Amino acid sequence: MGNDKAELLQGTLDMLILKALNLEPMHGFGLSLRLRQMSNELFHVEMGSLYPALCRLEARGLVKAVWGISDNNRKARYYSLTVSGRRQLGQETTKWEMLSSTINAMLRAT
Amino acid sequence: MGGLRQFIFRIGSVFRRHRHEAELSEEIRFHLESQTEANLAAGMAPEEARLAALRTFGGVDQIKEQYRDERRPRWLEDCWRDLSHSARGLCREKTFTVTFLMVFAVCMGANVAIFTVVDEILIRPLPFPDPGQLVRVYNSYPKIGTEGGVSTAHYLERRQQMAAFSDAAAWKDSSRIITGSGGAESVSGLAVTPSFFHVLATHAAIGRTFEDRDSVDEKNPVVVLSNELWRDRYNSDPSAVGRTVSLNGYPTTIIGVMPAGFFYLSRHPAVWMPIFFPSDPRLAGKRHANRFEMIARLRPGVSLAQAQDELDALNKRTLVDDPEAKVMLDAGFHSVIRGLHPEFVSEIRPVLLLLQAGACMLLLIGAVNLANLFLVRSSGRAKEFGVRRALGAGSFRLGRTLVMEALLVSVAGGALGIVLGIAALRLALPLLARQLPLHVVPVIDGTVCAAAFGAACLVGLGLGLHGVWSTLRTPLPDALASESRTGTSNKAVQRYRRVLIVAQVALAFVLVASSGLLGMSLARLASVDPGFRKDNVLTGWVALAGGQGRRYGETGQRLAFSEQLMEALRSTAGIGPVGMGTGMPFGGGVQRVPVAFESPHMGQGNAEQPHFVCGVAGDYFQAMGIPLKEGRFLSDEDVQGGRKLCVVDEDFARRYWPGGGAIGHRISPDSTHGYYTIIGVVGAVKYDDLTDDRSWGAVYYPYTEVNMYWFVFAMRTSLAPEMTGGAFRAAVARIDPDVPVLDLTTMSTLVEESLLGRRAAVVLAAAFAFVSLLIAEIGIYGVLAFQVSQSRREIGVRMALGAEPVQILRHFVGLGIRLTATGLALGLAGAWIAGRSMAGLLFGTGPLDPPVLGGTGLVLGIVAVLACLLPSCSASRVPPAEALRSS
Repeated sequence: MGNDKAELLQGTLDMLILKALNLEPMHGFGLSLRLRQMSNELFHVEMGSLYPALCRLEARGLVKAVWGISDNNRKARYYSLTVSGRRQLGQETTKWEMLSSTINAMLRAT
Repeated sequence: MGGLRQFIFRIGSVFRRHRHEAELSEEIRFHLESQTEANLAAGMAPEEARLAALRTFGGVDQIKEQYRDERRPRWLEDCWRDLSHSARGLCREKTFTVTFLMVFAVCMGANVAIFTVVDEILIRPLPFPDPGQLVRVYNSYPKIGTEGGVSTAHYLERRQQMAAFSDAAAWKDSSRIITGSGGAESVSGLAVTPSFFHVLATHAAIGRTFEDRDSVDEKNPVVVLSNELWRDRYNSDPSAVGRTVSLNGYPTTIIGVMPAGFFYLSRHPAVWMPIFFPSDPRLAGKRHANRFEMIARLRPGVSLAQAQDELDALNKRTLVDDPEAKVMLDAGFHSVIRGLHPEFVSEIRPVLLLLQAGACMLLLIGAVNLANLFLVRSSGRAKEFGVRRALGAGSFRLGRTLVMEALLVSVAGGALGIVLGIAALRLALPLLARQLPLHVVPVIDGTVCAAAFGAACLVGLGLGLHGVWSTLRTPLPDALASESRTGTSNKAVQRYRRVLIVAQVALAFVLVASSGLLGMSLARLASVDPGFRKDNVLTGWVALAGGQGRRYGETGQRLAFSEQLMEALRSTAGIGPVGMGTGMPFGGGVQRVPVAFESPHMGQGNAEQPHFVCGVAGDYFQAMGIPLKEGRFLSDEDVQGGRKLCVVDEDFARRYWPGGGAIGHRISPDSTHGYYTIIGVVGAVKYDDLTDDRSWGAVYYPYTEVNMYWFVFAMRTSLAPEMTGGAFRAAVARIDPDVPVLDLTTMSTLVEESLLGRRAAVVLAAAFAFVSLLIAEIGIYGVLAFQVSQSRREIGVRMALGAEPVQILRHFVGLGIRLTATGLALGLAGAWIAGRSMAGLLFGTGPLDPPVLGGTGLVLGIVAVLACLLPSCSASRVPPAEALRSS
């Protein structure tokens, strides 16, 4: 809440999680690694944002979670996209692209 | 869609909380371990790897908390917080809460108690399958004021010819004396046609009910026992069926036992007998001897109106051959079909509805009072709410808090009300029990509780919304300033509060006036002259089993018994005149039959009027205190000698011989019996209802001429009734220990009992009125006291400027009296409407009875002045300096 980064990522974090999960189902730890990797080590996702965000997405029916076995042979909770999650990702990507291109254009205009 | 899904998810998570917590811990542990392993792989030392993992993860508990926040349903928790906040607040404000709960519980309790009875009797269907199809059919002769019952001919015709009926049955009361192993006992019984049980769709628990052959074969009588009699006399022995029992001295075969708890409306017969229709019914001459009650079951889909039309058509057809058609049509003859349930409760219905209306009125007064209480409280909290609004609390949020609070206290009050209702019902039951037609103990059940809960919620919601409206409509700056030095209390709110007071006074007036009218009716009724002297008369019934070969089979034997008994009683010290009859006023046993005349009389109309008929012997009239108007009483010689003489009452004499001279004329209960010469005229007597002021007319024959096995002995006594009762029992036992004595009571008790229903209604209405007065008093006091406390500073200023305490006193008392007077005026109008709607229950008084209304006004006035006086006095004693300083 009072966290700068979290606030910065609010809204976009959900989208990025959906994007990461679009490739393959993942557990929370894997997701945190993947997000860092996708951003070329620039984003450091706070766990305090990641898990509540996953819970939120689950509640909205965009992701679903099942218990599975991890590579290191442990019980882990795997998250995957649902159909409406995939649709949501598409919508948000379009929206984001529009928004960012508009903002870029506006920034260049000065 | 997302919203709904989220909602369900969150609601679900409330119940899955523990599992979720465990899963979350598991997930976090997995994360930490994986991170640690990754750190190890990167070459950290084990302990350092673990700490680094924890560091990168962040505060575990904070994350858990944030995670939980996402899961929990926010609104539910908010509601819960509101509730607990309200509960704490209410616990702090004890005076408010206790007052609220008390007022609400009392009003609710009254409603719960009455509604339980209403539900039991008026709402719940009769305990038979498809009760909606059951109807009562009866003949009515409105012009001679007679209705009820059908004759044998009518019953048979209607059962055979009416297509609307799937089946029909007839029944009549018929008591029996059982003798045998369990001793002599007189029991209530019902004589019914075999179709009776079919109409009610009921079967015997053991054995069978009647078949058509049972009502034809008079030589082999049969009986069906009630479960209770079977239990008491036969120890629930199934082999009792098939055995023989002696009924009125006739050996009778037991063919079945009814299920436990089976009864017919208000009748709880111990024995069921078949009705024997005479083989030679002489139907033509007896078409209007309405000896039976008739019930029927409508075919599915047939409406009451259709059945009524068919019955009217049938009557028209049969009247063609009816020799008495002219006379009967003059009497307004027609037949009526009514639903069995509405017909059965038609008498108690208005009383119950009246009481329920009274209880609702009480609840209304209570609700108005509570609204006022809330208003006072919310003015006290105007500042708190103002501050909360100024700090950004939404109107919805504040409103929800207020509504929640009102709901909380209302539901608590409702629950308390149910408890109070149960207690009240226990208390009132002895008063009501005999008057309740179903003779069942009303139980507070789910329906009643649900209704009470619903009502409580409704009132709570109303109060809450009312509170929201009155709190939030004050503009914010005013609200914030309300308790400051410059603030004045809102004019509109003040006016509104006064309106509530006026409403309370008006409603209380209606309740008090209505109960006053009922009380007045009761008082007028109690002073009605029944035509006999009810004091110091003891009555007791003696049943002599008749029948072939029995000790009292012959009239002479019964006569000998009663002569012997009367002789024994006369010689007992303290007992004055003793008489006996086959029936008596308010005690039953008196039949109503038409009379035949030897020669044409001069009386009014040609309609056949049934008269009370009673067989008497001994000093019946002297014992009952019925005065002689003309001629002489029947003497012992008349009775013993079997002389064809009779005595009539004034009403009878006046009806047929308006100019006088009834004595010497000859009449007959039945032209085949021969004629009886009238030798005396006595005073008219009320037979079963003090409110009945119709002139029925009565004829007294020597008791030997009215063939009965039941006799009531009446004795005038100067001793306590219990002592005389003992003497009576002893005397009977000395003559024949096998003869049972029943219903030993005084005449005044019997008359009192006939008023029991009215008395119960009056007592309840008075209780409601009293409570409403109390509530009104609290209301007026509360509002005025608040007014005084609000204007302490104003009073201080006035007094500082030289106002006398008396002037201050006058100001506030004047305010109270003005409000009360307005309320009284409105109440008067309300009382008139209420009085008119209950006109059917009033006796000897109209809806506007000056003494009652005046008394009501006086009582309310006194109550109001008392309520005003205390706060007004405290206002007049306000020390000016302190008042000015106080705020």
